[in-house]
Amino acid sequence: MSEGCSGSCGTCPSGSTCDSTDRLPPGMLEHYNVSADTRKGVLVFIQTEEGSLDDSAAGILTLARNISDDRVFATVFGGIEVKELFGEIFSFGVDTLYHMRNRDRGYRPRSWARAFMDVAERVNAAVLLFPDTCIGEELAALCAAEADAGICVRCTDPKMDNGMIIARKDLGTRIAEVRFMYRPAVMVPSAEGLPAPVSDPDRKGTVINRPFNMEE
Amino acid sequence: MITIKNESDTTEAESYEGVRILLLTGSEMDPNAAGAALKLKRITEGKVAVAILDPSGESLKDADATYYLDDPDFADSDCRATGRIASVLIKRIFPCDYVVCGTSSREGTSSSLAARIAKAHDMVPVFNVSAIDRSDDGSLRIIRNNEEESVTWKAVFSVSEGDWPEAAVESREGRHLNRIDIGLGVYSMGIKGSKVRIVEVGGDV
Repeated sequence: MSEGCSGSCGTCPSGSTCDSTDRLPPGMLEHYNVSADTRKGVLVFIQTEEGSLDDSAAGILTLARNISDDRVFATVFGGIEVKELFGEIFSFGVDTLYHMRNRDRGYRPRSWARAFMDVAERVNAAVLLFPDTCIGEELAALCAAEADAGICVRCTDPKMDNGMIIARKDLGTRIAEVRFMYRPAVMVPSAEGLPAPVSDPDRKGTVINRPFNMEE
Repeated sequence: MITIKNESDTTEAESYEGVRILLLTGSEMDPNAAGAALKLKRITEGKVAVAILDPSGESLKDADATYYLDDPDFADSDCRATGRIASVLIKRIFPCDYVVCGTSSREGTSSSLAARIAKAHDMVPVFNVSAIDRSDDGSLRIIRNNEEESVTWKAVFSVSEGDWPEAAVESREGRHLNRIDIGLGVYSMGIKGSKVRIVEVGGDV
């Protein structure tokens, strides 16, 4: 019953004398807020070069571990040769690694972007991180378009501040703060601004084999 | 010297039934994108229109039509909102076969914009193109990331450095379009249509 109501306000059930016990328990309205964004965690695209990790992979995985509000997911595309990299990838803090497999080993931007976005939707990631490389930038552009998400290319100092994803961008003459108003956020951190890699060789994780379709 | 020309041929370009090319540019003309648009015009014998997302920008001397997207509501658009503006321009004003992106929003790149336009119009996104030529079968032979590929029809290009023809820039009167002209709602562009906000935090680089 609303404050000052004597039971005739029209909002209380007829014939009842409602009191405070009829109200929802504290927090339940927030719990049932279906508009709230439930995306959490970070998904990283790991680029490989001839069976070894790209130069930026260690830095970008460490960054993902630093900014993540939940789990760190990663994808690596390739055949059986990338299995040797799993230990190294987990040492940088990845919890779950998706091994994206296809008989065609070639780089197909649209197929890879679609496969990456399938994983992003599955894990419900809040941040999608790509390396500052030609392939990384292309995939970031395609994934942002696919997800209708905000993008920031060659950003620095990405972080989560009170639930908001923020990064800085050098605009040439000045620096701007890029605030993502919605999730997911697609980011390509600048290669120069990555943190020093932090590795723990004892760290373990889960690998999920995931075949994907190459049709464009 | 700056010459001012009337755009009497804009209508002709809009009703042209051959290959149509749209060059998207901002306040400064990207010489690579401009060169790529001219190369496409030459090899396809088509008409090229320049859409300038900033009213202070300049057009190409060889352009067949020029559009200035001139509305205060377009200000502060992010990559998503800019993509919507460009997509609606293509849909309602200048339907085209090839788009060359020579600009972007502050936080994105021309590839980010190209991907959104490609998705909106079911076109093929082709990034970092450094050369375009015509194949014997009529398709376009392109070089990107030092690899050769073929594009048959309907593509959106982002362009990198290459051996492009030199494009002369000049001020043109053009056709000024606001959001009503292209039919966009206020929640599709500017800050309201953006997924990111850009706040200047001061401090020179």
